[in-house]
Amino acid sequence: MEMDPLLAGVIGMGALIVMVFLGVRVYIAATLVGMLGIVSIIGWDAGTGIVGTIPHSKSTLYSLSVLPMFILIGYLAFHAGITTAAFDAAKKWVGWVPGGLAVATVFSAAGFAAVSGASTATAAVFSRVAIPEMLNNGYDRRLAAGVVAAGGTLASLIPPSAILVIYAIIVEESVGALLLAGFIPGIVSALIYALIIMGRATVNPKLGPPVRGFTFNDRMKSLPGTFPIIAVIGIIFSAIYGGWATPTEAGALGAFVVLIFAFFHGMRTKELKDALFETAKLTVMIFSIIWGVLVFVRFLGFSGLPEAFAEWILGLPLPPTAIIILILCGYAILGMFMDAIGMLLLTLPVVFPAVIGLGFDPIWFGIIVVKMVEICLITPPIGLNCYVVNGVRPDIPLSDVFRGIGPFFIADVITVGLFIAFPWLITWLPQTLLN
Amino acid sequence: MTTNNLPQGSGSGSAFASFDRGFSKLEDFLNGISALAIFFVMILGVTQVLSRKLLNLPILGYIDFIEQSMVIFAFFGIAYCQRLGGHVRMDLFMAKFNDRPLYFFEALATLVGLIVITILIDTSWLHFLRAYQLGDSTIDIGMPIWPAKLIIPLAFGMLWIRFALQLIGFIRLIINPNAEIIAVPVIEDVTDIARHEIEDALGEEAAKQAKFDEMYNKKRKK
Repeated sequence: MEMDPLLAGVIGMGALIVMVFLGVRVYIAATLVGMLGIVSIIGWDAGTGIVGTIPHSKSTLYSLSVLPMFILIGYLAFHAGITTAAFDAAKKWVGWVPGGLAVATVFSAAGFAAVSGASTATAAVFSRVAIPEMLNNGYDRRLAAGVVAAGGTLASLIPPSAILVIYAIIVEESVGALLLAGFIPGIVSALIYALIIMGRATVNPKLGPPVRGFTFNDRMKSLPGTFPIIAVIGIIFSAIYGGWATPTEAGALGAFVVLIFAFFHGMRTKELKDALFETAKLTVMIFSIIWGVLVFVRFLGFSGLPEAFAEWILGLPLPPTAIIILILCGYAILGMFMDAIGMLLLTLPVVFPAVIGLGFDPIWFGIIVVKMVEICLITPPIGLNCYVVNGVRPDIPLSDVFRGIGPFFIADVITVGLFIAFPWLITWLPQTLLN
Repeated sequence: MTTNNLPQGSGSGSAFASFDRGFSKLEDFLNGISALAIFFVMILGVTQVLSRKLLNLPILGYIDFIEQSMVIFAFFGIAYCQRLGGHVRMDLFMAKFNDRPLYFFEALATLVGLIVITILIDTSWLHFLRAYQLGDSTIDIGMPIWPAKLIIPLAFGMLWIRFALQLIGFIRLIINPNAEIIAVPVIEDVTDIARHEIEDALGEEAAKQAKFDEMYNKKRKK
């Protein structure tokens, strides 16, 4: 029952969307559609034979072994006392600016992001560390809640970031380049958040008064606690740039350093066990969806659908920038309903070739897309980060958290606009360091 | 995202429920091995860097070891993750249903999983058999590849049993929607997901204390 490949591709894409909407797990839906699609084009025996090799061959790629390491760093980071130390240091160094404590929250969240890749978890931790101090200092409740929910989103861009590794694997780009590329955009996002806070606090000083009175000595003393952050950034950057270790080895070293700190900070064996179990669960989830989607990608390759889609996109009577903005809006909508990893894996096989066909840089697109899915974590209708803040601080109504997010949402739109206008903000660092 | 409702109280005395409990223990154990493998990869990575840089003695076959052990953390926890509803899906529409219609669609989605895994067990077994008969080995130190390939149909076998348990669990609920929920994950709303995130970051205590705006939630739930 061999079928026209392109037709099979279109039907397959449709079937996949229907199944995912009906609640079939993404790895199952992608495998089924991919398998039926390949079988419809090359027959049962050859088709299922190919599919049978994919779970093994695609999950034993050395480059993927970095994922559990990065995930482990993230889970261990909560036990290493990094958040309190980072917030304390940031407060002492930048607390004197208008809205100082909120600015300190942004920078310490960015620092914590360097050891944790999880946005929601970062928001949870800072709800406990930063919000009480802001409220005690008379900060506006909405500002305090908003900055924590938004600060959490910095985690996916600043390395180590698991989602950037997944993007790199699925579009076959360098993992190292993607990780380096996230750094400057993460900092730019943080700076724009900080500028917005300072601007608002200057106009209305009641929003967030500065905190002063720290001596240079106080400041220097606050630094040693942030050592795990510096160590993890240092290890990963120097390993990728200097080539003295693979990303997996750098991740292993980073995890080990954080583990030692966590033990010194009083982590118990049960907490280590929990962290490892959670890491294992998230790892198998990511690996399953990767091989499942790669079955589907193999089918797409046979069908020629990505090329046809790219041709259609290139034929549109619109400038590339307009098309990319439309695609990003599509991601913003999808991101409201779907988990970031599932969404990226399902859409990239078709969307990515078209974006590259339009002349955009693959690394640049990865960062932009990840930034978009992060924005979805703070916007209604779901806005998971906002719920997390509300859950930890029930005294702050959810409506206040969502209102507090407003200025940061605007900041994010400005940031994405900047990245579209000045793509070198993203591409410069990996190009300079890796060429 | 969904979570598991552990069988409790009446109904949990049935053979079905006790099989589910026993099987869950096996899943937990395998996920524990997966967790250990991750720890091992970390230790091996640290040892490799230190021994290569400081002693100029790289571990022989390091990449082969890692690649072969990846099968453990890529597959050992697969049924565990399925039980806890950890595999990515979109429950936007599912969350709108209740009782029978919900259990019907859940059963359908589970049946699809069962079929896919049945075929995968067969094809991945053949893939293992080829490697075994041909004596495939790794490039670096010539480790045999077949053990890693054997793990995959075995892990899929575990997953098959888990899917079968969930299918029975959902069919049971279609027949009697008021029955106690056994062996199936239930859909979580955004506050449950938020609670889990809080638990991961701040521990069980904080997750238990977490409260969410009820008013706003009621509005969301139409």
